[in-house]
Formats: sequence, C-alpha cells, structure tokens
Amino acid sequence: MTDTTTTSTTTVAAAAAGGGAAPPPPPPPPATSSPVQVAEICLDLLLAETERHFMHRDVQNANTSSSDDAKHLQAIGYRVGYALVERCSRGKPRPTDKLDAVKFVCKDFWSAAFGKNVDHLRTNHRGVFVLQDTSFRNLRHVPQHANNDVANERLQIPTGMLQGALAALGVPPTSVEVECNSPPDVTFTVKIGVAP
Amino acid sequence: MASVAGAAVLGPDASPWFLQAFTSNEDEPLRFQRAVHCALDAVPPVQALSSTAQPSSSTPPPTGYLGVIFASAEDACAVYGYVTATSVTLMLALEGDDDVRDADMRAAFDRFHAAYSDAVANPFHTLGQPISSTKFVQRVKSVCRGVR
Repeated sequence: MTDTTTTSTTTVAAAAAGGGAAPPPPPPPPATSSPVQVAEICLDLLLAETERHFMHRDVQNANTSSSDDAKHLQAIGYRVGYALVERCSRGKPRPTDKLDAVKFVCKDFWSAAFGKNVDHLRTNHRGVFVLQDTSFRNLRHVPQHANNDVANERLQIPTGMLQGALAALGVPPTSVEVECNSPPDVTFTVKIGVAP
Repeated sequence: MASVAGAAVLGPDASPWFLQAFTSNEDEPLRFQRAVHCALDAVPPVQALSSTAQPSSSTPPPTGYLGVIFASAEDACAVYGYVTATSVTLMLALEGDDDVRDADMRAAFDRFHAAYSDAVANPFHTLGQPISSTKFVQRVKSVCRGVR
C-alpha cells in the first residue's frame, strides 16, 4: 500500500514539474467486474525468490539434498497447474484421449500459464509426448550461455505445473523430463502410462 | 416457485468434496443427501483415457450441463448436474413444482463452477479434500438465491 502511494505521488510531482500544466484527470474508478491485474514483473520476482529460497538453503539445513529441493519446487508447481487447469478449462469439454489432453495443455493451458502456445508437439502415439517451446517465458531473462544449473532451477516449477495440469485432466504422467540446451529454447518429454 | 434445496461438489471418484443443504427443516439434509446419491447413478462413470482415439461407435461421456439427472415425485425435488473438464461433478437440488428455465440453470452452474475453481485455487485448500472455505459457502448461497 505504501509503495502505491509513493509511486502516484512521484508521478504527480513529475507532471507538475514538467511545465505547470493542469494536473492529469483522476484515473477512472476500477470496474468491479474486471479481474485484478498485476504487473508481470511481480510474478518474475516472486518466482526467482522462491527458487532462490528452496535451491540455496543448504547453508541453513545441510540435511536436504538438491533433489529434495527440486521436488519441493515441483510440488508447488503441481498445485499451481492443477488449480489453473480448473480455471482455464471452464466451459470446455473433457478431453477424450491422452493426445487430446496433451493438446489442451499445449494450447489453452500453455497460453494461460506462459503467454503463448507450445511451438512443436511430437508423439510416438504410445504415450510419449515431446513438447518444444522455442521462447519459454520463464527463461527469457536467462542469458543464452548461462550455466545449465541456472536454467534448471527455473524449470522445476514449470515441470510441476505440467504434471499437475495433466493429473487434473485425468492423465497423470509417469514422468516429465525437461531439457534445455540454449535458453530460452526448452523441451519437455512427457511419458503417460509407460515405464519411465 | 422453485428454490434450491442444496448444492454438492463431487470429485472424479465420486467422493463428496462439498455437500450443503440450504433449509431449516431438520430432515432436509438427509433427504438432500439421498437425492444426491441417487443422482450419482445418472452421472457416467469416469474412465481412464486411452492412448488411442476412441472408436467412433462409443460416444465420449458428456461434459458440461447435463440437465435434470434425477427427479423424485414424492420429495418434489429435482437434481440438476454439471460435469467439468476435470471430471468434477457439480449438483444443485431444486424443490418446488415450478419449472426453471434451462438458461437460468446454465448461468447458475457457470457461476457455481467459477466459485469452485476459485476455491481450489485457495492456497489453504488441500487438493482432493473437502472444501471448507466459508467464502465458498457464501458464494454458493448467492448462486442458489439467484435461481428462481
């Protein structure tokens, strides 16, 4: 609340300094029916801080291994993916087969979660699906030649989201593997109903 | 004059996640629960999705608004159903002999589903457990008041 007040005050002060024109008209009252909008950077910062908190807490607690931390992040993502599918599948029919469910994830879920559709979807029609996103939203601030661990940290929550989304649609995956050779190009390999 | 006697949310395995009767009558909650359980028979069971497309002969289970799925003359009550894409079943039980327009019921279920998806997004809710949010109860009540 304090931040909001400070920002608006600076804006008014800047406008007054810039030529003594009439103060800008007050913003229209927010419509109650429109959803609350939040700047995207807030989500980026929250995610970055969450990852930092879970992946670099070895100092405080030497008992946790890095795979435990990754699992913790995936569990957070699972919850998010599950709830988000409930929201973005409103008014849509239930998928009829596995491919249909994965297609729903590639289009509706991906654009709700990451702002765009999956670029390529390949499948062997036996339960293995390969989803490729050439400009993955959560990796857009990762430099192209960054250490592989940096990108891997960023991909734990999205991996969990993918698992949660598919589980909510009735096709819980047996495994989801993620590979990233040059950010922001990322490949998810999803196995449904086949041994990992 | 028709009014909503109760609302229910059932998970994919038909476990009750939310059961609430909106009435002051003491036997009413049991009557409502019986109607909900009877209505479950009319909801197609959830089947595991196959890896190949369904053969065209077998029709996929319906989703969305199902209409009246159970009606009991002795109780003068009718249960309306709605299945989401995630196989969660929503039910509203109406009592009274007046017909309610289908469009009104569809609108009511849309708002009921919106309330449910918001309740699931609540970080204090545990997935697969009954919903215990008072805000959700309030929203469902207001959905039910909207049905006339």
